[in-house]
Amino acid sequence: MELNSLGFLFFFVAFFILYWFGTGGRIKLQNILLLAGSYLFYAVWDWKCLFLLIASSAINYFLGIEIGKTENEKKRQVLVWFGVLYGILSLVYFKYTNFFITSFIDAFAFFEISLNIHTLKIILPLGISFYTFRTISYILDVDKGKIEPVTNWINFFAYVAFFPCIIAGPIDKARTFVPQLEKKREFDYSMSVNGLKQILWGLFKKVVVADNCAEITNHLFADYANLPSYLLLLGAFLYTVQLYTDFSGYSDMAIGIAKLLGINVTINFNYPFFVQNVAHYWRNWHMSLTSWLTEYVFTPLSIKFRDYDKWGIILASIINFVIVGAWHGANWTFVLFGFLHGCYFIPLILRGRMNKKIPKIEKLPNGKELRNMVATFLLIMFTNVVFRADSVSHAFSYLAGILTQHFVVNVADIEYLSLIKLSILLVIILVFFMLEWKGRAKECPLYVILQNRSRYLRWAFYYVLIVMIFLYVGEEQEFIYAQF
Amino acid sequence: MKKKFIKYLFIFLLPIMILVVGMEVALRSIPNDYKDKSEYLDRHAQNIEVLLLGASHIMYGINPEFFSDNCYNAAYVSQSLDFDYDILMKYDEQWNNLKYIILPMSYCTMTERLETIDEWWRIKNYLIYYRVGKAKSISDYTEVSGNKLDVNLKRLYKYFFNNESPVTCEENGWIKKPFKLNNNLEKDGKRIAKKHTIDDPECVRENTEILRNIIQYAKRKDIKVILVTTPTHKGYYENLNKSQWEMTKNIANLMVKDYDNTYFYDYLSDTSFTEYDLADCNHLNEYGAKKLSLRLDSIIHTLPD
Repeated sequence: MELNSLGFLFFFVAFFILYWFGTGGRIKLQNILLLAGSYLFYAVWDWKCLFLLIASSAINYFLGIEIGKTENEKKRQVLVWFGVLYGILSLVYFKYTNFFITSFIDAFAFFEISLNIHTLKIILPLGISFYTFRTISYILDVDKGKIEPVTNWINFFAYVAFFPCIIAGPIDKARTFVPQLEKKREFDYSMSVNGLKQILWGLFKKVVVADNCAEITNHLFADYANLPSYLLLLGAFLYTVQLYTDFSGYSDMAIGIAKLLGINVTINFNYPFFVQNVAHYWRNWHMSLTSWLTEYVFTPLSIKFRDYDKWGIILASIINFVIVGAWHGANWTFVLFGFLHGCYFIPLILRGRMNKKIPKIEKLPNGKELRNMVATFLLIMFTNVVFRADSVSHAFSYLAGILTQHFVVNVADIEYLSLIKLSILLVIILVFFMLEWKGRAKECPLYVILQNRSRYLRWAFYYVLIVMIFLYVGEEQEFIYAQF
Repeated sequence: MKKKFIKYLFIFLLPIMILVVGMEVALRSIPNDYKDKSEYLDRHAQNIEVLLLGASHIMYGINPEFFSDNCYNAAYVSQSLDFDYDILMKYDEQWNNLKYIILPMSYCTMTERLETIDEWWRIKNYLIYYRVGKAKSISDYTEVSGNKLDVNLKRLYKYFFNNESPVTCEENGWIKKPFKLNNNLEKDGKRIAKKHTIDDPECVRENTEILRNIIQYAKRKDIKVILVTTPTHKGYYENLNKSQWEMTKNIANLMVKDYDNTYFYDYLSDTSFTEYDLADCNHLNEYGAKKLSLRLDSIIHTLPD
């Protein structure tokens, strides 16, 4: 059940009514309903792997309690390492086993040695990358005393399986999420209205922008060898927009749905294309993952390498971003993607600009700010080609094509590229970014746009968005991050 | 506060709900080929002696008018074997006179399912009008979400304002492709052959199972199954992937070997069909359909009892 499907709509309407009207405001009942609803949601996607989710929750629940109780430091560390390794190893097994086997075979094949080993039939459990990070952060936070162990198993299991976020995040930390499950949730009118606005905006991004970009980029990336450089550049641009609107659209819907249930979920995107350098980009892109890795990987590594000064930070950055890349999937393209982003930090670190505060742009960017924004966008676009490619050689061929394939084709002959449809899409993308620019002061542009105007004008605008969703609904595409 | 929220949400959504429900009702009231075929089978299944199933190759390529027995063309665009089977089963208790089932054995018959190709949006037509098939989601039961809004608006405009009926099939279920000389057969053939080349072993396995089920059902009911590869242009058949085509023929021949009620006729590159018989590189026009239909009619009457 995708969040933008009719099936989910029916499910959530029934859930919402039960949650606010059927539980009498009792937290215990609401949390039980959250847990049951989350498991039902997950089971519809992937019932076979539901048992793994439950097992993972149970193991980490008991570990958290034991870690909290244990005063023996050695035993504590063993338990923490067990919890962390359990998470990492399950992730590695399900996600990377076949990748390692294939890479092993390819490495020997390079020396013309054929190995008689085959990949295993391993199904990747849905959402494992996301819920595993939730549980690992919980174990580490309990160890550091940042959160008391959660003794109520329903609350803990509901935190791990929280249905709006389980498939593609955001990755909330237990210390910000669980306390919300432990206190009474009163229906908040403004919060719920904001939730609806964020869902609408997320739907618009996903259905109108992302899915329509995907219709074109799927073909361009498959047919790249026969296309001129300007179309390859177009493909890279559209894919960058697609990736952003697909993922942030899902996050908006997840956050909006959580708001309708009276729960605040961590923000995942903060207008990452309105930034002036790559460090700033990562502070505003997939923020829940970046903050997770900064806290549990980058910071400990930086401390470990502090004797090497700036080179220690560079090394920590590169390792951090290689993990960011690898987290996305089992392909060398993701590792390369991460490595390139780590390398982007090198000049910033050497010039002491990594953590430099960038002044907020009040109205419109000046020449230098615009140049920085465009340059940052191009750097991101370049790595997104690597992210999208099927293999490293595909990525290099595509990028080389941008530089070398200077022939002319009659675009009218390209079946999947209608000039009218493309023009409309580009106008939609332009209007979309203008609306995001206008609304960048808040979490969602719809919290800002027309807020001082009459309700009828606001509703008219929302109706326009809804009509566009129906009108421009493209070929249905799976959420990109659901596959991670 | 909850009541205020529900109240304003209801008021906001009311116009949308009215439009959506209204559009759904209006779209369902428009006549269409699926409704026509389903209603014909509801009324006449018990009289049909020769049943044509399959996709567009059969839909355009065989005209029941030229059969001496009571024949009906229940084929439709991209209708895959699973839907052929579902339609057959739906009228299980009504095939009192059915003697022959004609199925396509086209290059892509075994490698395609309606749900896996670009025409997947047609699934809702089977669910709504034929009441067969399996939905992947709730939206498969609705007209409104089955097409883009502009497509639906055009359909409504054409029928209610321009009085254009979208029904294209004749009373016998056949759809005519009028004769028109086509100079692009060679070029289109190459393109379409590439489009029809699909590597999906899982789909082949499933379709083989479905084909076997159809044949076994027919055998139990003493019905003969005729597998037909309709004629195509050189530009098409010369550009087919050899292993996919060999695999398809092998499956057909295996069915003929395993079941004595099954026959296979391969007209893929039959030279008695010329460019004048083809509407495009892989579909027959009205003249080609007549030629093929007469030939099949004479063949089925020479088959042993």
